[in-house]
Amino acid sequence: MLTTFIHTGDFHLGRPFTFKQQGNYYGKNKRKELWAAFEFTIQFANEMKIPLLLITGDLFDSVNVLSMDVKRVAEAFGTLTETQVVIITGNHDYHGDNSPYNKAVWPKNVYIFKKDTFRSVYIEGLNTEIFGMSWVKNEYREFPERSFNAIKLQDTRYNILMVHGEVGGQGSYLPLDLKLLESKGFNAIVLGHIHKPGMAPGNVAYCGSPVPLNFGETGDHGFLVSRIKTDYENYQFHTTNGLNPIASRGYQKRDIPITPEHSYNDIIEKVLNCDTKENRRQDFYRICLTGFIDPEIQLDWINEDLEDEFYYVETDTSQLELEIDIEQLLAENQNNELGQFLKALENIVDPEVRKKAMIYSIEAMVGEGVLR
Amino acid sequence: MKIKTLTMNAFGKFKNKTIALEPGLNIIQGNNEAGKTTAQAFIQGMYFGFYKPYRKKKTYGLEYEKYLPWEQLNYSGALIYEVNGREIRLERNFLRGKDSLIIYDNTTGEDITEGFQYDGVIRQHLPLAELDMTPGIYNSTVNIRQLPVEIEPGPQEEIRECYLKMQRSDGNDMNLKGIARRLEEKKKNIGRSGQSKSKVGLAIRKRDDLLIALKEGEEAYAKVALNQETIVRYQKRMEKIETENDFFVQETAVNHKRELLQTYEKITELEKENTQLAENIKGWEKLQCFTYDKLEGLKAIENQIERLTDQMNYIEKEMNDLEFHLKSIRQKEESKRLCLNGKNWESICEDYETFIENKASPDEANKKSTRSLGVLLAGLILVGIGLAGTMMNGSCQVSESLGNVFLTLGIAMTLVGVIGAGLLAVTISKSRKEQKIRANNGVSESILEKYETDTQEDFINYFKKASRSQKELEQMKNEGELLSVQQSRRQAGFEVLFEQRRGILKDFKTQLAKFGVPSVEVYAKGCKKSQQTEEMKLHFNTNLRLLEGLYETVNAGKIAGGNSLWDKAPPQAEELLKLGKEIARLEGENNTLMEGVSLPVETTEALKTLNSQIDACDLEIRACDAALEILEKIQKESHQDSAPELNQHIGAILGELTQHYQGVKIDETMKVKVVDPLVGNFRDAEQLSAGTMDQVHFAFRYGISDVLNRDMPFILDEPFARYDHQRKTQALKLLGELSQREQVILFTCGDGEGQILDALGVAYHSIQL
Repeated sequence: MLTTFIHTGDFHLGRPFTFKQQGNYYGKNKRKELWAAFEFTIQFANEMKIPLLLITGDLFDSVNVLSMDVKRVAEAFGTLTETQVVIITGNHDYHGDNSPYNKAVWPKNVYIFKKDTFRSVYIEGLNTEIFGMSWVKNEYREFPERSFNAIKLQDTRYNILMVHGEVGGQGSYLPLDLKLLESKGFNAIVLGHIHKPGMAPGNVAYCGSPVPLNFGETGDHGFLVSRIKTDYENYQFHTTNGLNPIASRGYQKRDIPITPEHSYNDIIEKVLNCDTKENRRQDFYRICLTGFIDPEIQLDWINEDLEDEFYYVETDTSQLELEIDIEQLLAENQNNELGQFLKALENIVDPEVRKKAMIYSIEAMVGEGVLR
Repeated sequence: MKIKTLTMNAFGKFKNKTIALEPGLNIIQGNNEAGKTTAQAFIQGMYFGFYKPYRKKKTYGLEYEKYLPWEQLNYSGALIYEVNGREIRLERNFLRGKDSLIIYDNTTGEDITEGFQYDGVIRQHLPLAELDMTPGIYNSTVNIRQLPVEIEPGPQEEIRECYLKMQRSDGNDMNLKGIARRLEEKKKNIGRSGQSKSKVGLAIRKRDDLLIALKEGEEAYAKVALNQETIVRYQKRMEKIETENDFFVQETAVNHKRELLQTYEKITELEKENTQLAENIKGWEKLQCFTYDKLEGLKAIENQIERLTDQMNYIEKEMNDLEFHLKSIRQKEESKRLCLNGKNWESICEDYETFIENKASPDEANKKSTRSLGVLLAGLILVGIGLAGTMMNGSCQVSESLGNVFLTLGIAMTLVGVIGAGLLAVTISKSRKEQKIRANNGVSESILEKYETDTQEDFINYFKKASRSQKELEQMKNEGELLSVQQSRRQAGFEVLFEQRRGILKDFKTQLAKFGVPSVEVYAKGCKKSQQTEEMKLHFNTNLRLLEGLYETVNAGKIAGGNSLWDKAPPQAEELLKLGKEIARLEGENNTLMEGVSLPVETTEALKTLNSQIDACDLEIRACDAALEILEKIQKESHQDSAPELNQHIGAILGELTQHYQGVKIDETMKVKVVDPLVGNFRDAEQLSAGTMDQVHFAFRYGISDVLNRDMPFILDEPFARYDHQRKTQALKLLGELSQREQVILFTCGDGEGQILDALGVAYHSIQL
């Protein structure tokens, strides 16, 4: 009888990451972190003798993932002594012609759903029937309702549904109707695709990505552990879920308000005060400078000046405005070259180019003493 | 406009310092560090404050800190000027947070601040707003600050700046060329794709390399992926084959393992055995001299001793037997002699002969007949009983009458026999009583008495008995003598054997002592052990040879029989082998493919970073280009709009100053050129001496001030430092002319200006700092 199971997915093993500096260095470290999270999950399952491990898609980041990565996963699953593994594929690692799942011989304890219609696998020793569908192409605009409706559950079994898709979504990532999924009476509905872990009543859960993958993924990440209490007389199952966090480098976003009074060193100091030194050396930081800056201050090298104080830092100055009253300038210089110049700058079509051109021009004007 | 009084309550180094100025030319003289530049900055500060222009928030300029008094408690001053016949007093507090400007009508004392234009950012009113005088225009036109001594391009830049400002009818302080130059510098710092050492050039070159590396990596890893899929297919095929041959394969595998295990066990066993054997061999090495030949010899000696002992025992037994016999014979002799009742045989013989002579012998015929009759009667009884018995039990198949006859006959015969026997016994008894009565007569009776016999017959029987005893006694005597002889012989033989055995035994014991054993049995055990040692050595060597073979077996994957462990190939082994080889080949190929190429994922990441950097640079370049394009367009228009008459005016001033250069021209690239009258060509301003550059600069400033005709004092700080006397004179002459129209304030450290002015006859007001 099933007593506990792990719900995880969205590992995105082999993922190339995007960093503004030293992308391959930080990317490599991040991939190591993904592997560490995966191996931690395997170790946890082994040590805690978890009988069932469910992977709800996107185990690999791409169908072009390295063969050695696929073999490494297969070998890791092979080390599980008392755990059955059930996998569905997702939009990243869909089981198409070039499926990563064809690049390894999978151990006997691993079952992979390979169809995009609902099928089931019954694990007799656990009295558990797992229903699932895999992605075999990279987009699904409709849920395979017909195949879903054909599902018939046996009440005496613990029934689990595995799907990789978007609840309430309307795009090409397999839109899911939660009410429809719940209507069948599954004992647990385990979902993948959304990277933020989330649990809803009715034992519906998104496991989230085991570690955050970008600046959009803040908060705790890990894998879900579900525990089942069985009422043998009435064949009723009571499931409770909990997030087992996995230690990893977090992504931190900080908005630093800047005023014209701030000197360059003030700005550096303000940025450094955004967190403790220990945290700065641990996590990925995106520093967003906001407000108004003295146009005489140039931030071209601010990232380089901050690098030593952070494990990783990238600065975003796109929301920073120069402390110059352009309107006043224009108003006061309507009939002169300055006015012509500023007006022409404002007429640049590309907004990014326009903003930069304006900043550089004002910097130059300041340099020339125009606005001093 | 004429400035009348400067009152520095607390400003820079000055504290409660008042300077009174006059209309016309004012020469403020002071040595270095006297505060000339500070006083000049004070005028600027009083009019405009020290704020950065066009800010959305009030921002203090660099001068604020520069002239902040040390005590920092008071930072203020007042300036009185006259404009349009009205005397106005400006009272300004410069101190941050308390900064303010109050404008008074100095005649009435009325606060007229509200009558002036208000600036919402600095939250102050602007006293010169009506004149469209901003700090930029002020500093670029009427206020000539001290030029840095060392700079060469400085004047050139300032000339350009002035020229540009001069072009503008409203005197705006835009320096297009300077801005363009800075944008070009910015662009240069970013670099171009062709510049390998520039930021963007380096990034682009690296990106190109990475793109090649990515292509190679992707191709290699795509091939690796294909190979891997093939490998997986082969592995699955192998698995299928193995499943098909499951039993056999499993059995074979188990057997292989078992055989290997057995080999290992055998090795262990042999090694263990050899260890034990080696120990035993070592322990039994000293028994090597124990030989079976020697044992046989010892055994022969021992057997000889045993034989001798046996013989001796036998002889001894015989001697004992003889002794016993002899003793027995002696006892029998005694017994026989007792039968003679103490009488010797000779006397008995004599008595018998005497008795026989005196007495006839009894009737033998009667005796014989009586005996025969007895036998007859006995036979008759037996026949009668037999006949009667046979008839009675009917065993004879005869007629009843004949049976009755025979029965009667049998009974009759039996009765006759019994009666006859009774009569015979009475007859015999009667005869014997008669014989006794006859013997009692004479010698015979004395002999009978001597020998205590009753009758003749008794005596005869006695004699016969004595005779037999005598014969036996003689026989016993003979026998005893024979036994004695035999015993003597045995004794002699025994002694010989004893001596012989003693000698052999001594030699035997000596030999045993030589081997340190107490007996042949122990020696035999030694021999056995010696033989075992040899056997053990043999066994040991055999084991060694076996071990060598087994080691080879284990190392070379062979089983004990010498056949290869893997010889027992399962069905479809060839295909399995082929698939295995193919997998190995593909894995090898994959390793080769992956060597020397970078991981596409890492290359992609590096590319992403580079692309991001290149995109950022590209954006920056495009922004610079866009701004430069606009600037260029404005510059061209500006150049086209330039007033040639202004150039002529400035050229005339320059000619007057230098007495040499006549014309000034700003070309399309905004380079300032002056006309060299000697050759008639334009010369770049950069080619002029520093002093001449200063004069060109002065000419520009003077010309602009002249042309702009704004009612503002013309303020100069040390403008003639690098002028020669002649040119300084010309400049002062010009200033003298200008001071007729405008107030001129000249800051200088020397006193030469006064002398020149005196010589020129120009009126001036001298102030000593």
